[in-house]
Amino acid sequence: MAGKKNLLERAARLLDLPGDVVAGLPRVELIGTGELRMEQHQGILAYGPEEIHISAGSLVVRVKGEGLELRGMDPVQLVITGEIRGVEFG
Amino acid sequence: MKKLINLLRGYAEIRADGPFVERLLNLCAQHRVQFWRLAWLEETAVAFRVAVRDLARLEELAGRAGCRLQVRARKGLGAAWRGLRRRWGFLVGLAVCLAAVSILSRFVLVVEVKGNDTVPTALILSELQRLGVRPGAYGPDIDTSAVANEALIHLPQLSFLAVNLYGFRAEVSVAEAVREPEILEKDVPADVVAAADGIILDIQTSTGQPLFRDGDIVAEGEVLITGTMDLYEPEGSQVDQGYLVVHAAGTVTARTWRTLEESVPLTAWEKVYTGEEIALRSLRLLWGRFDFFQNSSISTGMYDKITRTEYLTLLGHTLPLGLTTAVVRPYTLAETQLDQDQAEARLRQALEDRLEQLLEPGEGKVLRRDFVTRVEDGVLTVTLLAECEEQIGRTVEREGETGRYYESRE
Repeated sequence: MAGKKNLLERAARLLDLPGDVVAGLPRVELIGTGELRMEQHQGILAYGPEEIHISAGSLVVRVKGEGLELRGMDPVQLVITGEIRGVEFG
Repeated sequence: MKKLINLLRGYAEIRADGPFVERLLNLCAQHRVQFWRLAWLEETAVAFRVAVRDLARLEELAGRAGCRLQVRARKGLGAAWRGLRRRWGFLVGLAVCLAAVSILSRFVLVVEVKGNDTVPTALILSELQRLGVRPGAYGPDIDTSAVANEALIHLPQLSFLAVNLYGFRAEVSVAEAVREPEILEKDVPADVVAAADGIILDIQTSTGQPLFRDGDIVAEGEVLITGTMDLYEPEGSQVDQGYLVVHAAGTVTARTWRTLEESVPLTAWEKVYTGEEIALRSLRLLWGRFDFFQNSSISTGMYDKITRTEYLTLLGHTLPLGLTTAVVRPYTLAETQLDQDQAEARLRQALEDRLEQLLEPGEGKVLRRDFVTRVEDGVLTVTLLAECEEQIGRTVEREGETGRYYESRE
């Protein structure tokens, strides 16, 4: 399953196709430093006003900042607001 | 906007406790249970808000995530409505109230008259009642323009009348007609005649020919200023100039002597109340009257009945709900002797009132008055002899037409 995903990811990169559509890769959109939108997430792993960990399948997205708040969440996307200082992937 | 929608839908403030509360949040997201205002309280506890309608689903998801839910508060209209759904009595009352308001607002409960000054409100209300505008009337059935036209025909004192319906209130705006001035019928021949015997003090003629001079004695009915005027022929002329018939006008002030008399028997029948007092009450609601004492009877044949109706008022408006109280006071008649002094005082006052009515308002005055009192066969008689100064000229119209006549007078 992971191999198939990797294949799709590489194919999308090779053919210049959007990875989020072809391979179901997470899409992170940052609007200034006050709002972060993420699509294709797999759920929250940890939550706090200074750090929120989001599962994105093979990787974990760590949103760091102050006064972070999960404003909305559905199976497709989530919205985080607050003073965003950084986004790490691991 | 979002806040308003949430308030209208109703929401619950939730506290979730469990080892993996983030799992509950993920489950909520997967099952499209919207949450907001998420706050991490402790390592194993979060607080958030969800729509009231999603509560049951959230409980199920909490069970799956191994979390314990605590509903801290329910807020918003939706939550309030859910609370009320179990209170059937309140809902039925609310429905009855709404129905009553919507139905009753179609009926006229209050009729208000505005704009009248000299024309009595009762007169206007009475006419409107005859035309169907009264408390209890069904508003949509009232043809306001037809009512206004019909009312104006029967109320010549008014120049304008409009009926406006505002819910249960019928507002009647009126404008009073300007009183027509008294028109002097110049085409109708008339004389000024004496209304009483007297000695003329002053005679002022504006039209016509005076037949008396100051100091002359006149009798009631005599012509003082005639409407038939002789036209004098020029000196040396043999041709008759005829005469002129006019509507005579003028004032004649004279000294008059009036004799007025009033009598009263010194024995009279007086009411002696038995002390019994019966209060009969009835309720007036809209156009109906509900008698509480329909079958009650009054024991004696003679009684005074004093009826008083008190209507309920709200913010200055009289509502069509009132209580009528009729107090019945039975009495018997007993013959009593009148106090002569009191009876004489009453007769004197009555004579003064009669004299005042005889004299034209503002144009007559009493110079001297003497009262003569006598008692004959149990009857007290008071005679008033008054010397007055008054205007005794009264215009009396006669047959024919005004104008110049050449034939000789008869």
